[in-house]
Amino acid sequence: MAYRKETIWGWGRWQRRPAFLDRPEWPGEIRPARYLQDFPRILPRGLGRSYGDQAMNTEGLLVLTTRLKRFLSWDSQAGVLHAEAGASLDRVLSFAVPRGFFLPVTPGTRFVSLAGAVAFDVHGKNQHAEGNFGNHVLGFTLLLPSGERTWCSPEENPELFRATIAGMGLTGIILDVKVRLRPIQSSLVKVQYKPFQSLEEARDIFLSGDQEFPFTVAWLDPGLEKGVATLGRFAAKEEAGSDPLPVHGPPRLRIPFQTPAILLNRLFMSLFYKLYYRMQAGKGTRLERYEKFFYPLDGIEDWNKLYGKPGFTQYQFVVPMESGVEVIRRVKAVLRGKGCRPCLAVLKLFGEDGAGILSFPKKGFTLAVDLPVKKRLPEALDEADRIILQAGGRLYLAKDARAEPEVVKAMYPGLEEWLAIKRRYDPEGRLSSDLSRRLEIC
Amino acid sequence: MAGALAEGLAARGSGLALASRRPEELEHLASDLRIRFGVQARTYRFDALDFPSHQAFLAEVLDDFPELEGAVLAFGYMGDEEESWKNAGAARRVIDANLTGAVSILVPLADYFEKRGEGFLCVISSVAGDRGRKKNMTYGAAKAGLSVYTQGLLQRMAPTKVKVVLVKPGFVDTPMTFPLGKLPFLVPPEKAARDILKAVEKGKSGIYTPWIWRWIMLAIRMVPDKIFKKMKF
Repeated sequence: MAYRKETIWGWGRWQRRPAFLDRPEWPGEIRPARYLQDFPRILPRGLGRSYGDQAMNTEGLLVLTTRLKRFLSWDSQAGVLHAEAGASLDRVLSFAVPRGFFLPVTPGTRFVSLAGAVAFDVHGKNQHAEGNFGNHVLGFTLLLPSGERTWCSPEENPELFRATIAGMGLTGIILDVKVRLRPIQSSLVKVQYKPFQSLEEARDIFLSGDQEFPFTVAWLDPGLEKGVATLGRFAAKEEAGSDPLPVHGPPRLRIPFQTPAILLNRLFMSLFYKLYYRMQAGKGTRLERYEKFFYPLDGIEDWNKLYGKPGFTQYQFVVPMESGVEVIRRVKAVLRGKGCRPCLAVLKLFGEDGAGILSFPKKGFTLAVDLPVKKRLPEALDEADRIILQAGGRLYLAKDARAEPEVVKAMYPGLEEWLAIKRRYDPEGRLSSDLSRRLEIC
Repeated sequence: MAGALAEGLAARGSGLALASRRPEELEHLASDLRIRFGVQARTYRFDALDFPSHQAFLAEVLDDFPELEGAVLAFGYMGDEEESWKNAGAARRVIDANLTGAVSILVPLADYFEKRGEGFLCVISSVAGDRGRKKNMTYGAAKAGLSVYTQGLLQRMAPTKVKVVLVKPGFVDTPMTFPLGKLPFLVPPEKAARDILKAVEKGKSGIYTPWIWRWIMLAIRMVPDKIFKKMKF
C-alpha cells in the first residue's frame, strides 16, 4: 500500500515533523490491520487546528479524515445531525443555519472536524451555561485497533464514550458523530461591549449574572489588566429584520506564505483596537453577523502563517475562581520576567466539568494567551505551570506543545481511570501521538 | 472526483443513480446528497470488470429512472505500472478496467441515448492518453483508447441532440494521486467537477481540466520521439 510522505505542522507552526499519511475516501477504507502491518502506531488527524503535537505521529501513520464529511441523517424536528467524522463545523453551519439551527457549543474557529471537536471536548463562549461540545453529542461510531466498530453513547459503552470525549484520538478512530443542534430564530447576534480597567472588574462583569447574554468573553490587552468584554445572544425574530438567517461566506483573505512574525503581533493588536473602537462607537447593543462574533479569525485563511518562522504557542489554563485573578497576575509576572509578552489574551468563565474523563474545563476562569516563541519561553511556562498546578488549576492539552509529564499527570487525576479503559480497548498501545508520548501517557 | 461531480449535479437539482463496486459505502454519498440538496439518490452495484452484468445493471437503473437524462463515466484504475510490465495479467486488468469495461457499458448506454435523441454522455478520460510514456503507459494506453472511442461517439451522436463530452483531467487531488506527493497544477476534485459540469451545460465536445493541460499536452505531443525517448519523466 502506498502512503504519502509530508512535513506536518501544528497550528502554532512551532514544531514541524515528517509524517506518513493515508487519506481514505470512505470509512470502510480505514483498515487498522492493514495499517498496523506497515506501522507500529496510528493516529487519526482532522483539519490540523491543534496548536502543538496533538495530531502528529512521528514514525507512525496519520489517518486523515478530511474526505469523510458526508451527512448520514438529519432529524429536522429534533435538530439531530449524524455525519461522518471529518465534516467540519463550517460545513455543518452552512447546512444548519438556513434551516434555523446552530451549534450549541462552538470553539473560536469553524475549521474543526466533528471528531476533532469530540477529541478535545472543545468549549466556547457559553461554557458556564452549556458545557462543552461533548455534552451535546448523542453518540459516535468508534473504530478500535482490533478492527471492531462500536457505537458509543451515554447508554451504550458509556466508559468508552467518556474516555473518547477529550480522549485526543487515543482510544480509536471516530468514524461518525451524532450531535444535537440548537434551534435559533435568527443567526444574527446581539452584542454588548463593556470595557474594564482591571481583572477584578472583568470578573465582576462575568459574575454579574448574564441571564440575557449566554455568550461572554473578555479580550485583554498585552498588559493583562485592561480590556473589553463582549456579551452576546442570538437575536429574536422581531429584532432580526428581513433576512434573519444569513449564512457565513468563505474567507475573504488568504495569507499565501509565511511572513515575519511581527505581522501577527500587528494583526492581533489591530483586532483588539477594532474592538475598542466598536465599543466607543455606540453605547448599548448592536446586531452582528455570527461569524464576526464567534469566528473573528476565520475570515483570514491561513492566518497562522503570520506566526512566521519561529512560530507561536498558545498557552491556556483554567484556575478556580477564588485565586483566579491572583494566579493570572503571577503568571504575567513570570512571563514578563523572562522577556515573553503575550500578544493576545482571552478570558472566559467556566461552569462545570465536561463529559469526558480528560475534559479540560472545571469551574473557574480560563485564560488563553498567544506567545511568540522566545528563548526563555519554555522555562517561563514551566514556572507558570507550577503556579497553576499549586492553585488547583490545569492546562488545556489541545494547545500544549511543551509541558512536562509529571505536571500534566498531577493536573489530570482522571488519567489513571482513563488509562485503565484505554488498555482494555487498545492493549498493545497502537493508538499513540507525539503528545501522548511526550507526556508519557501512552 | 465522481463524488464532487455528483454533488455538483445534485446542487443543480438532479436526481442521481450512483454506481460503484461498493454500493454500501456509496450509500453515505447518497444520504449526504438527499439531506443537503433534497434530491433523489439511489445506489447500484457496478463492476467495470464484470462485463456480463452491465446490461442488467443498466436495465435496473432505467427501471428506477425511466427518464434518465445523462450519464458520467468516472471510473478508472491506475494500477502499479511496474507490476504491469512484469505481469501480463496485471496489465490486462488495467486495460479492462479502464477501456474494455468502459466500452462494455457504453454500448448499451449509447444505444439508449441514441434512441432517446437527447441528453448527455460525459466520459472521463485522462491526459495520460495523449502521449505514451513509460511511467504510465498501460493506463495511458487504455485512456487513449477510451478517448478515441468517445470521439467516435461524438460523431455518431451528431445528428441527435445528445451531448457527448470527453474530459481529460490532469492531476486531480484524489486517492489516485495522494501518495504521489507534490504534483504540478494539482486541482481539488471540486474544481475539476466545476469545469466538467460547465462543459456539459455548454455542450462542449471536449475539455482539459484545468485548461492549461491542453497546451502542456500539445507541447508534449510535439516533441519528436528521438528526444522524448531520452526524457526522464
